[in-house]
Amino acid sequence: MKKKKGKKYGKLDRKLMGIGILFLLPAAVLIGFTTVIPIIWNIVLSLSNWNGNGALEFTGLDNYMKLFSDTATLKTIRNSMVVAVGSTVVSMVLGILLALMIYKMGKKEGSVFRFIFYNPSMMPMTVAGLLFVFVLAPDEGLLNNIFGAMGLTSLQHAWLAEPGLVLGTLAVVSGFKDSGTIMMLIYTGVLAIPEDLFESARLDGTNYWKEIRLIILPLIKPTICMVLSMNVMWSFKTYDMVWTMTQGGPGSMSKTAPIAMIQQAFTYNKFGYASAIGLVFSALVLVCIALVRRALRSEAYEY
Amino acid sequence: MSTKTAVMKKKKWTEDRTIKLILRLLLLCFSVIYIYPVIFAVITSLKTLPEFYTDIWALPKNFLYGNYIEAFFTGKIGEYFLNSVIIAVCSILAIQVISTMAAYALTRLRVPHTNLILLILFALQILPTETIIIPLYVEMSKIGFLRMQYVPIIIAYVGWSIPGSAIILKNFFETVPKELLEAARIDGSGEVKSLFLIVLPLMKSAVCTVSIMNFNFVWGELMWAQIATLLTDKGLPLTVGLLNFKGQISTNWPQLCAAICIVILPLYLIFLLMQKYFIAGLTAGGVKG
Repeated sequence: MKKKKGKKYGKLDRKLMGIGILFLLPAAVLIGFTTVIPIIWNIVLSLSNWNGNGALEFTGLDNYMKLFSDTATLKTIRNSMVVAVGSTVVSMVLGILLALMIYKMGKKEGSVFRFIFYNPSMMPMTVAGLLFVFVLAPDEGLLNNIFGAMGLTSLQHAWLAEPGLVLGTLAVVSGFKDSGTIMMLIYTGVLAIPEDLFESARLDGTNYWKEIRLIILPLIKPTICMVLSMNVMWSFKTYDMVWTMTQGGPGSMSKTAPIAMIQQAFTYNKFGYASAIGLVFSALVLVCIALVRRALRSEAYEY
Repeated sequence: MSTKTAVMKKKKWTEDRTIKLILRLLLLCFSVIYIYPVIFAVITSLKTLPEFYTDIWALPKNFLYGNYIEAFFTGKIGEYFLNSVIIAVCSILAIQVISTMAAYALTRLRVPHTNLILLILFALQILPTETIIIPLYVEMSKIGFLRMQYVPIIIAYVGWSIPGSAIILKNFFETVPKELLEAARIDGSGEVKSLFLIVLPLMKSAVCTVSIMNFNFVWGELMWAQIATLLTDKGLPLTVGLLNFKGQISTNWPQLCAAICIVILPLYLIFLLMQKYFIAGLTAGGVKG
């Protein structure tokens, strides 16, 4: 809807417009200060060399060249991808599974189960991370002790210290933590299905599997798509979890891109290079989100 | 006819019950996985360190709250908690007021290019924070905000949360009938007054939803909180403080568990009281993304 210009605005309209702009002003100032200016500055920084003090030295695309030939940094981006994909898969599978079981339970019972499954998602990542540092501790940890008590000592591992395991562990923990949120969202999707659909299906003699396969899954497909694209967005936010649980270790086996960025800036004072990492990583995240949405959109139009 | 359907119904009924039973058992197994770590942490938090090492499974011998006192005062978890509460309350209030005004302007005041503004807001809130923090740190340190307690953290949280909150609030505003406002206008009520006295009270659920959503973000954020408090040890929020605490106590697990419980238990309480809005916040967040 296009607005007409100039005189055609009534007096009241113009007054309202003035107030409106006034009302938008605080938001605009804050967004400008905390988001827009930093982004522009980030682009400038990524094209220059700067140690945090002194003069900015413009170096063109050097930082990007360096990034794409620096295997250590590329590996952190790869690690980010691994954790993101792994945790997305784990949380989607667990979340959908739980939601499909819970909807069958009665009201009270269901709400108790929902509380239990949502509880890890309630915690801040730092808290959940520390809890899992304890659970996964090699000697005193809950998991290894459970394996020990069951006589499965071969399954005991130093979960956060073995190079081959650490990324997988992080992905599973992060997926586990998010699964509660996914469960809630999918469950709300199932609730939105009209009750008479189930009723008539029951009269026709459908069983549980058929009900899920023929009624629920097709009908909550849009919900699943929405949840998945949100989940992809969250799953790249690995900084707090990885920093809490391993700080990128052992060595730099589990270092993800945000940690690499922070370290380049605040440990090595390479602000230009760090900005380049931040931009490349963000671009990657946005591309992933866009790709997932695209794929899901064509899926939704299939029939 | 009646006998046949009755038999079928009965068969159906027993089948339904078996399925429910199986599902219930499965859910119970999952429940153990989801809740036991927390229960284990609560039990451990009530033990002394030697007690923990002799038998990690044993229940605490007597109700020991020493770990809590230790974590709360010596470990300064209490202080961090207070800092986090201050940061959360200030941020949530500021976000609420500013984004309500923005959303109101975008729906009911005739601001030009509304669609363009909305598009920009959408784009801004998908943007990963990684592109923002380093220059924001530089910016804030130049202005001198970093020397202040709480201020840099709150400003950043408010600025980052406005786009998403404004979009959600705008969707709610659209459900408030225009006539109500026009009537208020004719009665000579000013815009500020009609916004905060007429519209906002109608939107209690919207306000709660947005607040809970922002609370979730503000309470758990770590990356910026850490960077904004690099140069100081005052005004640290819980997330940063907990990590410091873990660094100090290393593997004194009972104390760590006490600290974790201090953080988790109030969250459970908030969730139980505001469950409805948590879920609404999740879905609203989904729509906006």
